[in-house]
This record gives sequence, C-alpha cells and structure tokens, in this order.
Amino acid sequence: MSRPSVAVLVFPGTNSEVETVDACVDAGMDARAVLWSDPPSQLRDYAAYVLPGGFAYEDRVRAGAIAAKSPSVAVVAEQAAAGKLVLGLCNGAQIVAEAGLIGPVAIAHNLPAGHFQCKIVEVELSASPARCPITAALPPGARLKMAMAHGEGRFTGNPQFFDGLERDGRITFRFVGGAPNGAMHAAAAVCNEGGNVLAIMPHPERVAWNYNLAFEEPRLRGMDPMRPSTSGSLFASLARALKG
Amino acid sequence: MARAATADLIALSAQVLPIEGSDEDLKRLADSEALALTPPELRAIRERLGREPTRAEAHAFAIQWSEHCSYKSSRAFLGSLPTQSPDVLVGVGEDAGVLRAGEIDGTEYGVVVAHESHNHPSQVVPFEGAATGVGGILRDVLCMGARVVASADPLRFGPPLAGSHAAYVAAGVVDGIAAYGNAVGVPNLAGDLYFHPSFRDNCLVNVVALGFVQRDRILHSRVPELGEGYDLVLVGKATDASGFGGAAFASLTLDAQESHANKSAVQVPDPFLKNVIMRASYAAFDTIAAQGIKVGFKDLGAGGIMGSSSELCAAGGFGAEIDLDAVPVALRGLAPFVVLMAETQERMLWAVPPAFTPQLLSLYNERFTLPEVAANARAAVIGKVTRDRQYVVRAGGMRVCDLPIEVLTQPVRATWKLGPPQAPALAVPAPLVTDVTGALLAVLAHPDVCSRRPLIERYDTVVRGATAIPSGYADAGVIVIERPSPRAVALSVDGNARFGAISAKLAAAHAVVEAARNVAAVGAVPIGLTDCLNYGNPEDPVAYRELADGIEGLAEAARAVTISSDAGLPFVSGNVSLYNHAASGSAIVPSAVVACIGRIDDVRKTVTMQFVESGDALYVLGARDDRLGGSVLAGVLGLTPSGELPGIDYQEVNASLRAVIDGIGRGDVHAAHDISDGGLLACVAEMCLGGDGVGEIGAVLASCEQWAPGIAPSAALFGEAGGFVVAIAPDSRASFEEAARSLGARPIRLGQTGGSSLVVTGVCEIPLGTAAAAWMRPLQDLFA
Repeated sequence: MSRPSVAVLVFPGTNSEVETVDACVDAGMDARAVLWSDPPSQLRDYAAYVLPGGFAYEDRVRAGAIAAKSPSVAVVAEQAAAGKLVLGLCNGAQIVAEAGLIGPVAIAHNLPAGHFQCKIVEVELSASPARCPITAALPPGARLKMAMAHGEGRFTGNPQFFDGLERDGRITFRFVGGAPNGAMHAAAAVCNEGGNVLAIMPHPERVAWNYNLAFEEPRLRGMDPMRPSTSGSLFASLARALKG
Repeated sequence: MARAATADLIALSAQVLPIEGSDEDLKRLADSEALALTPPELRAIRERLGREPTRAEAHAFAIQWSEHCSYKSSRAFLGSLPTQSPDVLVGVGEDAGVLRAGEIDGTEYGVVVAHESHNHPSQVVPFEGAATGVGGILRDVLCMGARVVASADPLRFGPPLAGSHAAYVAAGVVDGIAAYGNAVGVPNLAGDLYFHPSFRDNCLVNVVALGFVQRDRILHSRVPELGEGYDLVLVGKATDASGFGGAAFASLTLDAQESHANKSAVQVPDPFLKNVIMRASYAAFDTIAAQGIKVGFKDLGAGGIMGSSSELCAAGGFGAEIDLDAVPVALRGLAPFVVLMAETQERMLWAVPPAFTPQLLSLYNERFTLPEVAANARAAVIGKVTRDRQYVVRAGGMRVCDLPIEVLTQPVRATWKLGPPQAPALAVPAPLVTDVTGALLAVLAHPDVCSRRPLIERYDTVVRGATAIPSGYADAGVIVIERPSPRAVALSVDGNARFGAISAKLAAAHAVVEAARNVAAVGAVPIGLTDCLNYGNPEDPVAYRELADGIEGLAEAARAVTISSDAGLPFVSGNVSLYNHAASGSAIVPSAVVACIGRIDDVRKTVTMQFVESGDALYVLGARDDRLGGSVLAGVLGLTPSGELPGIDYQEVNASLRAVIDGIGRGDVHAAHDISDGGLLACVAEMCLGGDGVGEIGAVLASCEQWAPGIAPSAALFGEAGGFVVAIAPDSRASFEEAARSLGARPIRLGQTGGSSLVVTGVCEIPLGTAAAAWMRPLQDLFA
C-alpha cells in the first residue's frame, strides 16, 4: 500500500517540524515539511496536515493568531471542511483553535503557574477511539506519555459548551491526575464536531520513541530504543486512518 | 532602506586621533573617546601602524585588544591546558570545538561544543543579558556547519533572599534563558546553580551549546584557500547601535552608578528571527555540501562586523574590503564606526565564491523571507576578500580604516603582578553531629543542594525529540545524535563555588573530575572538556594569582583523567571572563566552570540517578575523607568557611570512572550518582527521590564504621570527597565487584535499596516524604 502523504506546515517560528516529520515517517507516512513561502495551493495535494509546535509568528497578538490567518491555514481549513484529517500539536493546536477549526474553544495561559512549564505528563483517551479517526486505532482508555511544553495550553471556554464537548466525546484526551495547566475538564486535546480535526496541547512527537521515555520508565531500558513509544502509537493510528 | 550616513558622521569616523603627550593626556583621550585602551596600548597602536589611528581604527583596536577578544591576561597560562587527543576534530581557535561523536552508517559525526559567559550584561539587564548569552553561543555552534541541538547553563547568584536584588537577577536570568531557548527550539540539557554572597553584585551566567555535524561537512571560521575575491555576505538582523562597545564593556568593572550607561552596551535578543536564520542556514549547509563549495562562516560577536570580518579573513591569510554603505541598517544617522562595530544580535558572516552568492541570498531572503520576519533583516554582500593582507573599510567613498589586518588581529599581552601563593587552608576537625536527621534535612534544603526542578521546568528540555535523559534526572543530560542510530552524547557542567572560595586550584581540579564523573554516571565515556574561567580583576595580584592557579588546577586534572586518551581530557573550547567584581572591589570567588562531553555508543545502556528496584546492592566508590572544608554541612553548622578541601586521588578517579562506565554497559548498574554537594547521604537521598522528587524506593545503609572506618561519622555522611554511589542488581554483585577490583577500583558495600525511608543503621530513619518536602521546596518561590 502506498504511503499516505502528510504536509507538516512550517511557519516562521515553528520549532518542532523535524521530530514531527520523523514521527510520521516512522509510522509509515510520506511526511514533508512545507514552508510558509511555498505556494499554499500545493497543500491540496496532501492527504492530511500536521501543524507542529513552536512559536509561529512569534506568538504575536496571541499564540497561533497570526498563523491562523495565513494563506496556508486557509487551505487547510478548506480541506478540513472537505473531511481531510488535521492534527495540531501544541502551537499547532493553538493555530487550529485560533482558526476556529475546533469551535468556540480558547487556549489560554497556564493556571496557576502563569508561565511556561515543561514536563512529562500522562494523558488518557477519554472518548471512544473511533470518535476521532486519528485515535481510532488506539485501545479504549489508552494512556499515553506526552511532553507538556507550553505557557499557554489551558483549554477554556463557556462551561456549558465544555459540558457539551464532554458529552459529545470531543474531549479526546484528558490529563491523568488533573490538568497541570488548569484546563477545563482537564482537557489535553479537543477535536471538532466531525472528529477530523484534533488539537493536542502536550507533545506526542517529542517523546515518540522508547529512548525518550526510558529515563522515567525503567522497563523500557534495553528495549529497542527506536521503537515507537506509547505516544508514537498515535502517529501509527493516524497512518492507519489514512490508509483506510 | 536607511543607509547613507551623513558626511559629518563619515568624517567623524575617518578623523585621525592624536596619540601624544603624557599618560594623563592619553587617559583623558581614552576617556573622552570611550576607548578601553591604556596609555601604553595607545602608544603601541601608533608604533605598530607607524602613524596615528582614525577614530574607527582606534575603536577597532580597543575591541580586538580587549580582554574578551585577546585573552591578553590569560594567554600566558592557557598554554598549559591539554588540547589534543584522538577525539579532537577541531581544537581551540575557531568559533567552537568539535569532538568525535561516533560513526553512523559509515559517516563520522562530530559533536560541536562552545562555552561562553554573559556575566556583566546579565547583572545589568538580567533578562536580555541572559537571553543574548544563549543567542551568541548558539551562533558559535551553528557557524561550524552544525545543527544546534542543546544548551546548558551554569549559573551563580547572590543568596536568593526574598525581595533581594540577587533574587530579581536570578529570576530575570532564568526567564531570559527560557524565553530565548524555548522559542528558538534548542533543548536545555544540563546546568548547575550555586549561590554565594560574592555573586551579589556580579552574577555569573555561563552558557554551553552543543551541535551535531557530519565530519566532512564541518565549516571553518576562516576564508578557505583560493578565497581571493570571495564575497563577504552578512546575514541577519539589520545593524543598529546596540551593544556598541560590548566587548570592551565585558572587560570593565561594573559600577552600580554607571549601570544605566552600561545598559546601552547590552544587545537586544530576537529568538524568533534566530529560529528562521538557523533553519535557513541548515538549508545553506545542505546546498553547500551537495555542491561541494568551499566557504568560511563566522558568528558576529565581539566587535560586530569588524571583529568577524577581520578574524575570518586574517585566519585564512587574506585581507578584506568592507563597504559600510552596503550594510542593512535599522535606522538612519549611525556613524560608520558604530555600524562597523555595533554588536547587534542575530548576525553572521559568510565568505562564499561569487558564483554561489545569488543562490545564498535567495535562500535567506526569498525562501526563508528574512525581510518579512524582522524589519530590514536580510542577507547582503558587504565586501570582498582580498589577497593583500590589508583591512580596508569604506563609507561614503572615504576610507575609515586601512591597516594591515594582522596588526588588528595579532593579540597583545598584558602581564600583571602575580600575588603570593594562596595561604594553605586550615585543618579543622570534623564536628560531632548528633541530630543526623536534622542535619540532612537542612542540607537537602540548602540552596546549593535542593531540587532544581522549579528552574528546569521553565526550560524546554524536549524540543527536537532527541532527548533521552533531560536535565535534572541524572548527573548528565543525554541526547541521541541521529535517529534511528542509538548513538548519543552526554553533557554535564560543574564548578563548586564553595570550593572556589577556599582554593582556586583545587576547586578547578575538582570541577574537571566531577564533570567527568557526571557523564560517567549515565554510562558515557568522557571525551573532552570546555571551560569558562570566571575571575576578578587581573590587575589585582590576588585575583591574577587565582586565575593562574585555577588554570593550573584545570591542567593538572585534565591531564590526569586518562579515561579516553593517554593525553588526558582535551579542552576544545572556552572563554575567559575577568573583572568579575563589584565596584566596591570585592571579587567573586574564583570560578572555573567546566563542561564535559561524553560519548555513548548505545543509548539503551544509560541509567539515571533514581533507584529502580528494591533489593539492589549499594556500593560507594571513592574513599571518604575527614576534610569538610567547603562542604554544605560546614555552611549549615556555621563552621569555619576556610577548612581544607578533600583531596583527589587520580588513580582512584580513573579506576572508578572505568568501573562505573563498564558496569553500566554490562547492565550491572541500575542507578548511579556522583557524590558532591551535600555529601554521601544527600546523594543517596537524591537517588531515592529521583529527578521529580516522587521516588518511592528507600535505602538502608550500614553504620558508618562499616563503610568508612576511621572516618568521623559526620564526614562519612556529609563530606564532599568525590566518588559514586551505585545500585547493583543482586545477581550482578559478584561481576561488578570483580570487574571493579580488577580495574583497581575499591567498591565498598554501603547497604541496599528498599523500604520507604532513608535509613542509616543506628543513626537515622527519615521517611522519603519528609526528605522530599525539604528538598523540593526551597526554589519554588524564587522561580514561581
């Protein structure tokens, strides 16, 4: 079967494109970094889009705000409306939210810390795996280690609306043991109504291999360090969804 | 684009300064021109040139002959440091050093390392000073043709009392490092942190950066052979007046009253632009390698365009012609000599064949759109490499500089009066400690010992996805070189400030040995070092002696640690920072800060400091020592601060390093930690708690007489003689002990892991939760 093509969008200030491309490639996708100066129209040729982490456009105005208005994201929005899969990771999640692709959801500064926090966190698949095609190949209730590395990662909005998200299975991942950034419903990831756009705040791609996590999971020592970690399995699930 | 300087500003730059009269006259001239040059140096300029210099030339000399650029006070001593070994690919003398990191799929990789200080700027404007320190070191690594992959920050502050200026400086520095490193996307891999009153008015902000590069793609900080007629291409931020005189500033004494004036000498960071420049440069490296083009590449640091272009061309044996009218500037009305020497951040200089220039310009300006990323940022041709070794700078058709390039770049020397040898430290008997529990909790809560987690969490430690052991979980951080190869590199930084207060020489030697132990404790083989020598005013005989002693200590230890080469551990990069003292005259404690690089063939075979199994056997390597000078315990108990430091037995050091590295490689060792700040008991406590402070495996140690016979219990438990504590799988005990002994190491059984307390038989039993509370808390408020 051919390898599905995935565009990893790079904006000025993006800083996680290398590990994002590698995680996708290792999971069987043909992933490429597409620069902001490349013609946006060529994005239509890709089967799916991953928006990686960083500080696109210096997070001017608000994290993700400028990139959300870029021509490339306009093409991504158009393709998402046509049902293609979109995965936003950290700053990519902020861009997806700013672009309105996951509804009236804001991502605000961490509380109570009020500053950037970096640590390994555990998240739990809190909706049915098939609710979002990107997670469809994960086992129900799957627990994944991810790397939180953000100062503005608190999912927030109208409390009734968030209750609705919960009921509708759109809070895809939840922090285990409470949200270290103060997110409503301890949300670590939110998807759109159609389930084809997923915004995750902690990074799966930065701990996508066993060697990234062996320091705190001694059972991984001695195992193939380059095999996908639990976070890496998310990219395998994305690949599965694209291969249909 | 704002470019042309007015005729009067050009004339000002080209104006000849009369070097004549008495010392007093020349001092007045230097003061009125803000030239950091002494009367003898001014006369030397006239002598070397055979004429009087222009204003632009005089400023160029002031920078190139500053301590920061010329190492004029330290050069005489630096020659004693070992700099060669089979692992050195590029030694000292370029923007950064390169060590052999290992072969992947038939291609040899180098690990690039650079080490700098940004002490004075960080004291004056902590956020910007620390951020630009990170920015500068990343460029040094980038300019070797490398992907920049990690940074580390050794920090020294005054006691962090709530509301104090020292606390403000500490918080601002950490914010600045985080803001820059996190945005640019370079993970923080290591660091250390000490507090001492001598850093109150003069903090130390050292910074180390690592890169990876294929050996055949290393770029050099010089115009290559056949480089005549090459274009000089300036890349980056539009030049402004920021940082004008920065190198001279780094070599001056800080005065609180002048701190406002000093602020203009500090540069302005732009990690966002740097992020894009780095990516564009990576694309340039790939093109250059694919097309087999020979180039030179150099960071703009001290002295801006002047410093970089003169050194790049002189190192290749060429001269240069610079056209200041071609330099993209941020504002009108800058005098040409300011444009030439301002230290605006985020700039680099290429020397490339003219046929390649259009491709390089298009890559930066069009594909990576520099002009859209920051106002007037771009790549632009600003000059030519010439065959005659003349350094010529033009502005508006006038020559503002025209001198033999070597005169500018050839270092001067300063020799100062060397003070008498340091008085020997006092022999102080080890005290009787009756409340070991109370002492341990006080030691764990000491600012030099307590958990660094509140600080480390501010830094991105995982960007790039290459991190195997992040900062704070082990004695060294570990990153893989290139997926999917399991090859990796470890990094540690060290330099005990309390030891420095007692003996400049022994503290420096301990720094080398501890740095080597730290990379060994994760399973890496130490292969090379960098140093940052932070000392006081060299014109003060006492401080000058400390500098000389410190270098002697580094040289002695580095030559003696023969773990990877008979030549010892080579220094491949470094920096000297002098004049670190308050205006009151009180100098910082002598601070040789050392970074050590370790090589790891298989990242699977690494361990952290945290216990992973109950029932593991605990061993100590390295003899305990009754001397408690410089220990945290001495501070906690209020003992005389000048007691003798523990000694170093290099034979034991080499044997123990090998025993630990081999033991980790065989899988015998489950956890390892070096004994340093706080001593053995704090070391074991940290192994129980782990980097997050949530570990649940305790330890039971035998009574002190069993593992440290003849040593006072207080010194056995809290003495800071170096060594390791290792946890060994029960069925590997025999193989570990046998292998270690055959290497000449002396592993001594300490106890075993298990339970939920830290127990010393007959002495104390401390629940891990109690230890964690003491250890985790102290820095939370400082970095909240």
